[in-house]
Amino acid sequence: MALLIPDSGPLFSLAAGGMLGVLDHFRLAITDVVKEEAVDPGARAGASPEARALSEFYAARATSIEVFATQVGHDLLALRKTHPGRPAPPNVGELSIQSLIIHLQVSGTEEMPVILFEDSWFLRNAEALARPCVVISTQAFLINAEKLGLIPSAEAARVAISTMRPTAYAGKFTATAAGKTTARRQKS
Amino acid sequence: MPKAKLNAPPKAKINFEVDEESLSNAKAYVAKHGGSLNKLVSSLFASLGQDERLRAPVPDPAKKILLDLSSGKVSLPEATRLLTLPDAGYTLRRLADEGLPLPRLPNDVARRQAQASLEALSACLVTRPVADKKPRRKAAA
Repeated sequence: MALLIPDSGPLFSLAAGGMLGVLDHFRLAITDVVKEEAVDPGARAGASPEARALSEFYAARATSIEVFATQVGHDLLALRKTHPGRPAPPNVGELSIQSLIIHLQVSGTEEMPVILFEDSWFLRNAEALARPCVVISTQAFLINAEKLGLIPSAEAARVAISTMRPTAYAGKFTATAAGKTTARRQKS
Repeated sequence: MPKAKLNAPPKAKINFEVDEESLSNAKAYVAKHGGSLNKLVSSLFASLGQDERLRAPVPDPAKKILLDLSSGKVSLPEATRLLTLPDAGYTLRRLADEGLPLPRLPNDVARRQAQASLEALSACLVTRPVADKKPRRKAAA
């Protein structure tokens, strides 16, 4: 089974739309740096509702979500030790995912991972990422989630994300007997 | 035709009156600094309004970052870092409050990308998707 590896941008977007539950359908992995960007802030005082939702989502699935230590994460730790207070370089989450892809490639992983980036990544980077992997935008992920029957409507999901109103989403996630979530259309 | 002429803006001729004393002053200026009366007048015309442009209000730096995020020039984590906000949830909230949309790929690009990645994404599934489930056949009696 292949890995779905989201960057922190899509995680926050899905949290903003109240749609983190859709990730329960996938074998999920994040890098150490993405965990630091997207999961850890939610445990701090004054965190946004989205950050808290991500923290709670991760805490409830800590045994199933794989967290990969990366060279970028290692270098970031070293930088903080030698130069405390120096800000992290830009886009370290993306860099850590590239680092992980390279690691997976070198270690001979046969399953091709799917990388989930925010839509703007594609506007900025086009074909920059090391392969082999499949890179997918949040927009395309939502289209496929609808095709796979995981959410009722990709467009409604996007509206919910962009308006920061989880209740605007026309679907909800309900727990099944197996403990997984399934998308169901709300009765109007 | 010389190459430089190809990109030169079109020229126009004008006539105007000027005091003889001012004209002498201008000729003396050109003689001292080089150039021509034509260039001197042209540069004066070209400079008109530049002071106003320089005095134009600088956009709010925070708004500029949000605009850059909305247009896809910076990532969500990077915008959060530049805005010195505690986490990206606040950044999304600020974006929504300003009425700025999230960056969006053209629909045809997103659809093509979705089509190309559907199989790979399906390989990441741990649960069988609803759309993929076939109706169970009843056991033969």
